[in-house]
Amino acid sequence: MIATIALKELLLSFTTVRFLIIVLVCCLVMPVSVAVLSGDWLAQTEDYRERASLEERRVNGKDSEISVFRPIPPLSALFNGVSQRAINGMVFSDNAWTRPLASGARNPVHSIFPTVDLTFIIGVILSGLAILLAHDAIAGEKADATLRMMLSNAIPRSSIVLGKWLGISAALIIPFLLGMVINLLVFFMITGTVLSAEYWLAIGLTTVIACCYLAAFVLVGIAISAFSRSIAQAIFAGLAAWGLLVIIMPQVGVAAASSLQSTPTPQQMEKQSRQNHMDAQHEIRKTNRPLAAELKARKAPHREANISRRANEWPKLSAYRARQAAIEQDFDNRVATQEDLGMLLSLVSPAACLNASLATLADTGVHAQREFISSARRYGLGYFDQIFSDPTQYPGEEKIAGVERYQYRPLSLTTKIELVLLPVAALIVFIALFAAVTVFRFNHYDAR
Amino acid sequence: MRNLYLHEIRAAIASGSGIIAFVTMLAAFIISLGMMYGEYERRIENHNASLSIPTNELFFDQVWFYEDESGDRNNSNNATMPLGKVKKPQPLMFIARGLDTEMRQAVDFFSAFPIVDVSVQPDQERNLLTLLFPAPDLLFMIRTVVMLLAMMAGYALICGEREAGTLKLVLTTGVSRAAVFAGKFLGALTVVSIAFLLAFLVYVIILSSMTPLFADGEALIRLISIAAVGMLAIAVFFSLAVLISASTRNSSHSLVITLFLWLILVFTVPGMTSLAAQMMAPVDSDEKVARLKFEKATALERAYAEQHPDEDTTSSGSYGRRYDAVQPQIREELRKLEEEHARKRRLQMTLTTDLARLSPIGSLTFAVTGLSRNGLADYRIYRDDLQEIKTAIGAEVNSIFSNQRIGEMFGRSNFDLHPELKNIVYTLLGLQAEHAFRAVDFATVWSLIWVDIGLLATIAIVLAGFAFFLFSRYDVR
Repeated sequence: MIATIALKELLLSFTTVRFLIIVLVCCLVMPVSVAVLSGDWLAQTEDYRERASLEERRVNGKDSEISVFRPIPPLSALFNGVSQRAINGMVFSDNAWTRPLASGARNPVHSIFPTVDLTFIIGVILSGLAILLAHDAIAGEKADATLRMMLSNAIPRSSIVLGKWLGISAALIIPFLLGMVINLLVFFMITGTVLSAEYWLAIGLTTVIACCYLAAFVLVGIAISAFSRSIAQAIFAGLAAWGLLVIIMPQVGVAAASSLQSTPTPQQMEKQSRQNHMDAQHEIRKTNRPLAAELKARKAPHREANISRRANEWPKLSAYRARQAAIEQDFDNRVATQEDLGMLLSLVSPAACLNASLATLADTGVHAQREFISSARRYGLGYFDQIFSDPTQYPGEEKIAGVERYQYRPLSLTTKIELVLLPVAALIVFIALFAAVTVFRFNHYDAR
Repeated sequence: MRNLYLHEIRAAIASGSGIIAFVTMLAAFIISLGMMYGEYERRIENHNASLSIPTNELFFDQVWFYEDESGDRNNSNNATMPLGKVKKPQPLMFIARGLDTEMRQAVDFFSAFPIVDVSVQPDQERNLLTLLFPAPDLLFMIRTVVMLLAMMAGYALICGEREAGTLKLVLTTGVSRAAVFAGKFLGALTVVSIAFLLAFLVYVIILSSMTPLFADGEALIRLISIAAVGMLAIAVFFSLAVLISASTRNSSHSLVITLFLWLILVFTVPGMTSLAAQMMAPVDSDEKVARLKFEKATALERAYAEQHPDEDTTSSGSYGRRYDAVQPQIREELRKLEEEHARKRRLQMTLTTDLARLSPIGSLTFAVTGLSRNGLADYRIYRDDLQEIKTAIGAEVNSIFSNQRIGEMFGRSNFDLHPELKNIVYTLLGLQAEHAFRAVDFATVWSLIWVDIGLLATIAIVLAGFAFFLFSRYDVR
């Protein structure tokens, strides 16, 4: 019975204008967005290769400054996440604080309009269309007087809800899956990359999560329909619900987290770093003066002076680096707490759950950046200790060339799945809640 | 017609729809204000932090540690740079954040003395979620909530009355269709516009009590202009809704189509057009340009070295080899590279703005961001300023330094900075401190956005005209 109802809904929707609109969005708008972002990704990857090779070829100054980079994840063409502003490189210095390097310049107009990547299309547009599809599932049938006819056939009410849910979801998900196939084709055509099995698994998971998300919003539409007496009422309520769930709640969650857990502003951080730096320089200078005077009195040769100076400076520089690392680590921890709180508070919004899961699986989320920063920092701290195993001697080219290069390792699939469990669970709870409410409400629905 | 007009207004107020529109808009505006306030406070904090520079210790201090009898020198590099310059946030950012995120980064005026460069530090606001889900500014609320309400006011103007049966009654009284249309159209539009104006007024009053909004001399005229642009945009979307209303017989259909158009015009088109422009006119990243410049300079130096193998470079150790003769040529080549890059950027920006105007939201956005001091013109001036200061400082440095003079200045083996060098550094710092970020004045902004305003007005008139045309053929039975 459920299958019959579902099939009926599905076939009926094929003839509507709404279905055509959904097909257009899925098969035209999505591929165009993927096409442009793939081109973007190609340019950024080329940039990354240039940077990395330039750093590799550089010979001078590698004893005092070193840069590490990470490549842009390929799935950023599909789910852009925070790629536009992510930190993709770090510069480490033996006597100064670390500097982050952002991704290459984008067209500044992009900050006026949001990036229309797949996450946006699915999260904002398709969810709105889902509600538009489903808003007259019950209220519409009541207006057409077909609802009472259906009920007079002694079909259990919950079957009707379930059948409609399945049918309308199918009407939305089938074009979506078709669109995803086209997206992947476009991506491969433009970038020409071959993705490993892990990426395919990630793509599969993101598709499944997106389908759950769309089904959730179809359910919201049906639920609202079950609470409305007329179609107009259903539309307005649906609109309000969509606005609340998709637009307002994620932002409120993040804003609340920012006010609950504060972090130093960028300039405050910079001031702290500079103060720390100046203190270290003072200390070094204070001890260098008498040392220089003593050496001059002895008329010591240049080489000995150099060794003495470095022996004096090195421990102070090491201490400075350790203090600076502590300052930066503290800052990073506070940012992480703020981000985690923001993500937790916005779990009530399915759109935020979707954003978090898709970004995590595509390596374009906050966790990937955190991982990069901490692993880069570990490398940077250890680098100078390695090349200056004898602090009084400047390392030769061979020594520098012999040091292990930084290897960027993206989060493993298991870690990503662990991170995604919470938002996906929240999404499922959301669906279950709405399903229960809908069925309960529909059982008392006046179909006359 | 006047009676119909007044009747329409009275009906809207009596049914409460006018009040609901006002309350909804006001609620949206207040939510935006509340959420933006945290961001504004943080920006002020950040700006204040950047102002307090520890002046007694900051400069490049090349210290010669030791010079032995043969003249070999040994040095210790102690450099502390001043804090980067940050543009002061102003209260108009509550209305439209615009390109503010691109202009809030700190600007370093020199990085490796005496090689002068102006660099914009990457955005150090590390919480990425606030970038992904930014607080909604007033423009966001206008583009979503206010435009939606404008469409809601119009979607049932014609077909709703037809369904209620009152349209044919009105037409039997012998009033011309034109008068009926004009009366209803203007009546409903007035209600929505007044609701918007009132909500905007309350918002401005609250904002001015929380921030020094009117410390900006041009604030009043800018706010009035923003209200005017908002009303034009309302007229556009309202006309569109009336057009749909006049082309369908069923108000539910009308509602669905209206909502779908709202979704597309507000959320999809602007973002997609900016993506399309990126595809059509790509721009190299700043890093890539920096790399190209570096490679160019190195190549020229190498070529010169090969051609003049015997020429002395008189370098001073740590600064590398520089041939004075080839510097002008290098500067010229680098300038050409920068100009090419700037040209490409301008092309992409122009293309993006032209394409974004396909949706009235694009025009609305450009106009309002321009009026809020966060528009494209402001951004362009910001980047021009950066370029200018770099050129000024670079010219200053190049006029003073050549390799020989560097050698002279650092020839003293003591810990004190050569007085002339100190003077130069303070001059450069003075240049940095004096340099204020220029602002685009109102007249310039107006000259740039009249295109958008004209576009909005034209579209509104065309849509209204088309709606009337359909109404004159409308079957009212």
